[in-house]
Amino acid sequence: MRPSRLPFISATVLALFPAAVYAHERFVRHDLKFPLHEAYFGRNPGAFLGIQPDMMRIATISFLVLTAFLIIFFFRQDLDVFISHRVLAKLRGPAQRGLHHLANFLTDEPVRLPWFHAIGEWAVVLFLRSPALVLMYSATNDSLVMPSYPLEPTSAYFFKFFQVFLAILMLTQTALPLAGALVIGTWIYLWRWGWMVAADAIPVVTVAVLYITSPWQSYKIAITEMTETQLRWVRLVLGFGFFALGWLKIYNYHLTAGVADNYPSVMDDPMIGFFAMGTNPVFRRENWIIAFALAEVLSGFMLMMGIFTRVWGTLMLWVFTKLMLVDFGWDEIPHIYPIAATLAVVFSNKARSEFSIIEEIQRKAGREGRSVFRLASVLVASLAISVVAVYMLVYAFTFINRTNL
Amino acid sequence: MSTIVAALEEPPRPALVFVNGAEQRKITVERVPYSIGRNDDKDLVITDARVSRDHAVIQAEGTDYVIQDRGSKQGTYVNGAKIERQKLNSNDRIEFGVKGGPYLIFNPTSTEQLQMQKELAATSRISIFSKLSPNDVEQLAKIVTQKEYAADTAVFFQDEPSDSLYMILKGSVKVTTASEAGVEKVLDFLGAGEIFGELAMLDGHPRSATVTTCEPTEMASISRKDFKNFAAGRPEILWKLMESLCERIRKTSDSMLEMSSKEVPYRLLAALHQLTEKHGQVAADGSCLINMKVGPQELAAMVGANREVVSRLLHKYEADGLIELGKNKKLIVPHPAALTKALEYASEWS
Repeated sequence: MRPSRLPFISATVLALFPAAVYAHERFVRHDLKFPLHEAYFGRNPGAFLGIQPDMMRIATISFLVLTAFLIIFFFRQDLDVFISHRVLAKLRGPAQRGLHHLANFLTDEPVRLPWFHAIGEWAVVLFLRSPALVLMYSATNDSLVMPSYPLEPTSAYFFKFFQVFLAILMLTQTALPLAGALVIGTWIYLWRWGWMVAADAIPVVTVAVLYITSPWQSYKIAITEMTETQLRWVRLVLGFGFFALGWLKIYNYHLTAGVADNYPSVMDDPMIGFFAMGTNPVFRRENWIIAFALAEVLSGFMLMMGIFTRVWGTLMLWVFTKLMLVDFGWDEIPHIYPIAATLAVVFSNKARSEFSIIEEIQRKAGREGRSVFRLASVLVASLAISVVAVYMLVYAFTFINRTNL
Repeated sequence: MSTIVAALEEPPRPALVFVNGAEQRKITVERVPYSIGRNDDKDLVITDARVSRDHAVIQAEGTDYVIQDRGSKQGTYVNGAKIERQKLNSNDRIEFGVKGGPYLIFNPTSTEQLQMQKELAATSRISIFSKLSPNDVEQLAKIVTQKEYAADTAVFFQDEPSDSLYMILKGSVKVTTASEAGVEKVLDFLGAGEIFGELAMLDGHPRSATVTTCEPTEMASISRKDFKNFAAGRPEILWKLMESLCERIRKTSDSMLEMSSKEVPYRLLAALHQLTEKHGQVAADGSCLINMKVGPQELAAMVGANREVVSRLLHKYEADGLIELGKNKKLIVPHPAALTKALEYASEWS
C-alpha cells in the first residue's frame, strides 16, 4: 500500500467509530421500561479499582477467556501437531488429511485445497461487485444506497444516475480507486440524514477500502484475490465495528437495557449467561449489559487482531445471514456486503495476526530449547493484551458522565 | 566431598548377563573390583568344576572396565580369545574355563537397540550416516526414535512446525508440496536409507512439504538438538548432509529446466525413468517392477500436467510396450533399456 493511503484509511476507520456503534439498533425498539441501578455503572468507592464487583467479575471472566484464547492461539500449531500426530496418530488417508485441513481452517493456517481456493476467489468477486447490485436496485426504487432510504425529489434524478454510474464502474472494474473515493463521498453525504443512516452503510465503506487499494488499470485484470494488506484492512474494519459496538453498549447502557426490556428473550443467551455467571441476580439487567457488551468486544477484538479469524468470521457469517434472511428480511439486503467481505476473509489463505511477533518469539525460543522463556513470553504477552483489551476501558467507563445521553 | 568427586569420576555401573546352560539372569555390578570364581566369597559364584576358585576379576580403569585373569587353570576368554587382562566393550562374551561352558555378556545392548543398530547399519550404506564407525552407529541408535507408519499416512504436513530429521529404514514415502491455491506437486519418492526433513531441521522454518507413506514404512527420527550434539564431533555427517542438500537443489534445478523447456511426453518418460532407476526391482526376465503405487494422479503431480493428459500418454506407452500395469496397480517396465532409448529420442524431439 502507498504510504499516502494509510492516513486516509486510518481516518476512515476512526470516522466509522461512532457510526458503527448504533448500526444494529436501527430496527430495534429500545425504550427503557424499568429503571436501572445507575450506581452500578459509575464509581464504587469501596470496590477494587472503584468498579462494581459484579462488573469486575464479568470483566475478569472475559479477561480469562481472552487470555485462554490467546494462549491457545500462540501455541495452536504445536497443539495441532500434538493432536494430529500423537492423540489421533492412528488416523491415516483421507480421514487424516480431512482432520488436518479442518485444523488448518480453525487455526488460520493455509487450507491448501483447490475447492477452498475457488470459493475464496468467488467470494472476492462477490465482494467487489455486490455493491453494484444494491446501487442498481436503489436507483430503480428512488432510494440511496439502501432501499429503506428514499431519495429527496429535488436530487433524485442526479443520484439515480450517479448510482448507476458508480455501479457500472464496479461491475466493469473500471477505475476502482475512483469508485472507492466516490463510495466514501456518498457515505459522507449520507451523514446529511444523520449518523444512523451513515452507520448502516459502513459495509459499503469496507468495500471502498478494497477499491481504493486496487490498481487504476483494474479493468484489465482479473481481481480474484485480496492482497495481504487489503485483507488486513477489511479484517480491521469489520473487527473494529464489533469491538466499538461492544464498548458502546456499556457507554450507552440505557439503550442496551431498553432492547432487553422490549425483547426479554435476548437475556437468556447461554453464552452471555456464561460471562455473567456467579453475579448478583439483583443486578440481572446490568450484568447482562456488561456480559453482552464484553462478549461482543472479545469477538470484535479477536477478529480485528487476527486471533482465530476464521472462527469469528464464520460466526459473523451466521449472524449476518440470519439478520438478512430471517430477522429483518428484504430491507437488510445490503448485508450482502459484510457477508461477501467476511466470506473473502474466511476463505483467504493470507490470514495473519497482528501479534505474529509473539509467535515468532515463542517459536524461536522453542527451537533454542528455552522452554521456560517460551512459556513465559506467551503467558506475559497474553495477560498484558487481555488487561489492555478488557480492563482499561471498563475502568475508564466508570468515570464517564452519561447525563447528556 | 572427595567421595562425591570420586563417584562422579567412576564409569556407570555395568550390567552383566550370566548364561549357564538353560539358566540366564541379569546381574548389576554394584561394586568393583567384582570377583568371579567357585569360592563362596566371590561376588559371582559359578559352581562349575572348570571354573577356578578365584578365577577372574572385573575392575574399573578410568572410565572403562577391564577383566583380569587371576591365574586360573583353564583361563579366561573374551570373544573367543584367551586373555590375561582385557578392556571390556558392550556385548563382549566372557567365558571361563572351556568354550561352551558358563559365560557372561558384558553390558548387553537391548534387543530393540540391537535391531535398530542392525537396521541403521543396513541403511547406512546409502544414508548420510554411511561413514560412521560401529561405535558411532551404536551411539546413533540410542538417540533416534523408531516408528512404524501404515500406508497412506502423513508423517508430517506442509507448514507444520517441526525440527526433526527422518531416515527411512523400510518402505517408501511421497514428498509433495501444494500452493495456496491447492495445486499439488509431487517433488520426489524416497526409499529406504534416504533422509528427509533436513530443511526444517536446519533453518527452523515450518515444513516446506508434506511427506506421506506409500506403503507400510519404518522410520527413524532424530531431533534437531540430538542431531546437533551428535554431529558436533563428526564433521563427515555434516558433509553428507550438505551433499544431500546439493542433490535436492540439483534436482529442483533440473525439474525447473524440464518444466520450462520440455514437453509433457518427455517429462513423463523422465519421471518413469527416474522411478525405474530409483525404485525398480529387476526380475529374472530383465523386466523392472516399480515397487510403489504410482498412479496417473501422482505422475500428473510429478510432471506438472493434468491427469487426463497423463492417462492418455500412459495408455500410449502401454501400447508401445514401454510399460505394463502389474499387480496392485504397480507399473512394470518390461525393457528398461527401451525406456531409456525412448527418453533419449523424446529429448531430441522436445
